[in-house]
Amino acid sequence: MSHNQMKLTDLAAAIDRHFDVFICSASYEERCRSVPNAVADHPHIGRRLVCFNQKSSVIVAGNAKYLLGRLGSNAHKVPLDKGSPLLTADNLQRALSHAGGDDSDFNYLVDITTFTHEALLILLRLLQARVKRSSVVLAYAPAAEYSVGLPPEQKWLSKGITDIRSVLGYPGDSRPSRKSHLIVLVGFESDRAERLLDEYQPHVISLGFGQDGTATASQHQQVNRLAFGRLASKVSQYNEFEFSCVDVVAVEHAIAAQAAKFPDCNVVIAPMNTKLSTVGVAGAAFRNDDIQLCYASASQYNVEGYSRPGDTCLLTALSPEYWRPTAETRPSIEES
Amino acid sequence: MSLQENPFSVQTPEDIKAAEVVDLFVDVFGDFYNIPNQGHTFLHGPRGSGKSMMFRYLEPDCQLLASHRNNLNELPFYAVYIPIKNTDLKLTELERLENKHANVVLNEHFLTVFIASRVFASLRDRASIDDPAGDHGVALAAYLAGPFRRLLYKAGLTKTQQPLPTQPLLAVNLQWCIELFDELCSGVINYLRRLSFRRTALTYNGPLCGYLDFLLPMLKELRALPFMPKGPVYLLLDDADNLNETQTRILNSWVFCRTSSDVSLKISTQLNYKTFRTATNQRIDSPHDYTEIDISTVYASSKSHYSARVKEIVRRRLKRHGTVVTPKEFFPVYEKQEAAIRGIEASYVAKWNDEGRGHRPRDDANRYARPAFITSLSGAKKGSSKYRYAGFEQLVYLSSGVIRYFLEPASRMYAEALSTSNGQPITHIDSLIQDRIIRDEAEKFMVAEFEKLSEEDSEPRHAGRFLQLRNLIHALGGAFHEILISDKSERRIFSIAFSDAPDRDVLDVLKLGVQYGYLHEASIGNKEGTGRTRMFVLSRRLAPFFILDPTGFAGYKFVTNAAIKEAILRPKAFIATISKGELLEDPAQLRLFDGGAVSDADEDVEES
Repeated sequence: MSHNQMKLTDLAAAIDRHFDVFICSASYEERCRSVPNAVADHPHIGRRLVCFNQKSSVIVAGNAKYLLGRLGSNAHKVPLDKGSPLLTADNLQRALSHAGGDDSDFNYLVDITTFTHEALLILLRLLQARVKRSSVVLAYAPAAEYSVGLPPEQKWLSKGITDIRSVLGYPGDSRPSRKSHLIVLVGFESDRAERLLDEYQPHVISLGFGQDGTATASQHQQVNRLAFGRLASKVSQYNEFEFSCVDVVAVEHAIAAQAAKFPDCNVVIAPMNTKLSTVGVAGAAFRNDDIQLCYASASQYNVEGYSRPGDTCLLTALSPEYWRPTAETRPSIEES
Repeated sequence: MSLQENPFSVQTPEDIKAAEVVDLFVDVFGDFYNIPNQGHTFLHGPRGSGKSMMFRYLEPDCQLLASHRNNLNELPFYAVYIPIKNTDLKLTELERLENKHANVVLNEHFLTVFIASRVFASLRDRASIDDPAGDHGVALAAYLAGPFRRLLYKAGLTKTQQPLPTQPLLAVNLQWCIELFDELCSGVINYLRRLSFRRTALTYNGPLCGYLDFLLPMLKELRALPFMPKGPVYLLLDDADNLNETQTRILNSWVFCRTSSDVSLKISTQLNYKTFRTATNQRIDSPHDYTEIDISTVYASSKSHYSARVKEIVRRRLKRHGTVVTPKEFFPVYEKQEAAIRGIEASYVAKWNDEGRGHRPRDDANRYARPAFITSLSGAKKGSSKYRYAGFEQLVYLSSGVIRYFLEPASRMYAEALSTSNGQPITHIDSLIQDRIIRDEAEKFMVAEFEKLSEEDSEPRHAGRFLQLRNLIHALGGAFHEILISDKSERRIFSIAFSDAPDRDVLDVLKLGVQYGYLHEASIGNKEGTGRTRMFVLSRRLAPFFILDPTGFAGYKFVTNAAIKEAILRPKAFIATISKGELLEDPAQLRLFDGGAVSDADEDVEES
């Protein structure tokens, strides 16, 4: 598995192979256009899938329309639903099936930048069932700034929690007689993480924060530290650990090690940091069915000033090893 | 306990050892007598109101210790604590089964085996069964080989899948049962895992255990074992709001069965229980099917012994911490302020013969002295903030019937006192610290928490309601302050009662206030004396925000639906109308705040 950081302007040149399917997601953030703009005219990209949350703001619908236009006649829209993970999964699955590659030999390029964590985790689970010999490369366009214009201590991305649910495809293997261990990969949103802790009241709490020097951009480290500090000050007892914000394999190892410290506990993980760390969390869950992933859906996003696009991009090639499931199970995927 | 440790820190009761629980728990079952008694009970209360602690105390290890008994079979009941965490049972995959027959069947099986696992885990961890002669192990082995095995077979678990244990060792066999039910849970989850991304049916080949055909007979037979109490088994389901709707309906169906002489269901909620309908859409009702308790309403009413309970809780915590002072000494009043109030009281007593309004000299002193003191400070408006909310009794009133709202600020006060104590033991909390933190808590409740709630609640039926609720709370708090500093005969007001019927819009706003703890609901005799009417009590946690007097019994005012509508839409105009005093004095316009106030101490206030 490898990852490279480059200028967005160099992205097209860096793509040196054919991708059968390109998947991206429209959002209210301008940076949802960054990667698609950079690869739109690439001759070696086949079918293009533009995901978008159908119950979102007009800005999302506008960006979806823009992306569909920009990506050309081979682009197709995939409606997702923030309130219904089942609908999200079904529509993604249908789109992937229609795109082809049922013999598991398709190559995918996925712009993970503006998927919700939940939709991304569902997509990864669906890809896991399709990918055997083929290659999956993830593209991520870091923001130059989050919560634009606000000082670090006032930055916010989302507020409130409308619902806490297990992520479809990651139910874990909770044993009623065991104690609970909640692992939170803390991001910018200490409020949401605090609500999560309050709701679960786990026996064991592990709070992870991004390692120095691994943030998608160095200026985000300080904000993460502030959020971590705010959260930690409200929890009387917790275990602290570090994880990489960009290295999928390192995240998986960090999660596996943290879960192994409390072997007699049911493990629930809330990935709330970067999308790349969420990909690492999914990898840990692929290898350990006992892990349940949860998602706290936000009730309000900082739509006006969520982020300012940067001019770089991270490319991560996921190795076949990444998709390897546990020996016993692999979710049953139904073709349509 | 180290002096550095905070005596007021709030822990999850599940993790507290029996000795500590018994040490800290103050018997509140005089107020909530239905809980330790046979019968299905719903226990409603916000987070932190002591529900889990009550449940923890009912567990056999605590009951044995508290009753100084050695043998489990001497207890009057066997209580199993079953916390329902957010995504233990409410798995997203279950939505795949919605509107299918398998939905109810599989959810019931899931719920049943989840509870069964906890039952045997409780026997392992909480029952302290002493079995030197091995008799109990033999009895359990016979139970497993007999009735239990037959139930498993009926549920579809064949011998080859799960061979019975061969040794009559109690601990080994209990562990076998736990692992059996854990595996059955796991079987459901694995089925759901395979269902995650399927849109069509997937055959389920596992066993199916229900309440009437499995859990109830399993528990009935278990009760018959010689080491078990002869009374019923209590299943203490904590935070049942975390069940999905189907599971909630299934649980209600169990309540509907009225099997409480064998198995009593004790169900706690955080006021967000999804439905009171069964799987077949029948409604369960109180008192026919269950009894119901709302902790905050019980403690908000004048009949309760909340203050005594808190005093005992604090006394025990201080003692355990090694601090040998009384709660009143630990949370002292602001002596200068109290002396001034005593002075005002004396003047009321002195002039009672000529100007007295109450029946006895002390009546006027108790009723008017503190409001008069607060009024004297508010000559220059900003000065009223100089009133200090300090002293144990005042802090108890300010916690508004929820122990967490006493302990959390107390914990913050202790931490602040410790930070400036230079390592010296904390023997009391300065009144200035008490006042600062309690005001901060009130502001957080009224401002930050309100914002958070309105941001978080995206339910369409609540659209716009939070703004209306905020207006209403501002209007009521502001009006009550105006009344406090007026020369009315009753100045300490915290409640409103309806002289006519509130319409649906008004009721929705009030209910939202109750749901989030800004209001408590009760009922009181109506004006005509022909029945009862709804009463809503402002949370005393807000007293510092609106500069109200939280102490003692407060009165209430009758209001009309139209008046509350005005408060919801135009809170400032509402307060201005009250402050003019016209509406309270002009009989022609008594429709806004109608009639004289009656102390809720004197009236028959009934929690609903």
